[in-house]
Amino acid sequence: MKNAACALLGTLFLVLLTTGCSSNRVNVIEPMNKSGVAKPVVTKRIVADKKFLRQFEVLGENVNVTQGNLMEIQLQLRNRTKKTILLQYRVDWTDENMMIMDTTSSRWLQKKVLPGDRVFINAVGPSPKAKDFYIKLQRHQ
Amino acid sequence: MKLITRTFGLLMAVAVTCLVLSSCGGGPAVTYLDPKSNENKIIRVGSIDQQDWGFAATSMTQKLLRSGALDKEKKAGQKNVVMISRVENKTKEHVDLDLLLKKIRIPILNSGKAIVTTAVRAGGPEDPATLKTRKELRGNDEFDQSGIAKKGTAIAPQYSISGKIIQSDARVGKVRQTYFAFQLSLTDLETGLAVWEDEFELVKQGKKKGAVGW
Repeated sequence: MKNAACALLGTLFLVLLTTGCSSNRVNVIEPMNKSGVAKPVVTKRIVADKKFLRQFEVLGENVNVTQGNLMEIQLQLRNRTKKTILLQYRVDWTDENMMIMDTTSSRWLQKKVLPGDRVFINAVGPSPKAKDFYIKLQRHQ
Repeated sequence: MKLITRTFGLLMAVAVTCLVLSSCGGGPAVTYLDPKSNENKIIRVGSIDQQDWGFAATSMTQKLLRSGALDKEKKAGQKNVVMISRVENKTKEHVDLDLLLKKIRIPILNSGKAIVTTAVRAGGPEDPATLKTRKELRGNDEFDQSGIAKKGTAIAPQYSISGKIIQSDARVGKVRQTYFAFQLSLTDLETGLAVWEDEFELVKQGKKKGAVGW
């Protein structure tokens, strides 16, 4: 009786352990040699939430100028965890005098990021006067 | 025994005082929220909320600007002129579509790529009083005619924005789900061709009609 109970508990423990370890992370297949050429930008990071960096890996930061002379930026992040995370972000722009450009597009937006998945944060400058940017990121608690 | 009872009584008194003070010093019943934030906003399953208009407009405007559809000047030396054509509300609520359209028009204007005309719009000019006043002032001896807009000076649009907002509801047991599709097209009025199109999709699901959250 005692042995049967121990066996049952042990099995239950193993099942729980296995289900806890398995995750539904996103798998990615991509070309080894990409035809596109990214234009990386050197950024400065002010991290106020260390847990954010544990949850998200920064894969790349690119900048581009559209044909219409608008600055375009892209930030690529990856969800390192086994959980879906709601990511909130906002992009602010400054002009050549470092003055903030308050636009209707400067608002907090959100994206759900699946476990292991990548997310692309894109933004286009409000006008050709936009020269620099600030990307604000926050995870949902 | 008496000491224990006294100590207990004192602790209870302190606890009650703390509770009373914390409820007195609690947050206000009404507070201001940042219109550009998502935090603590009401989210209703079957309706488009304030923050949803912002999501839709920002997403679609960014794509329009990135597409370059308005980059090339139709007339050399003159910014492209865009009119707001028919945008249909196919949702179950009566809403003022300027909640979306204004948030698209302002970035278009600020981008320097195009100007939106208010003299021409589906259903009549946006500001009919302005046009009426121009006509009334013209020929009125009281006013200096050299400063009044002449006939034939209003600029016709080269592009128009039209679209639709569609709603689709679903329900399984207690779970309700609503799907919204915001669809916009930019048409070149010279050719009649859609030079840009976009659709922003929103799905909301919940067991309650609404809640406060993200």
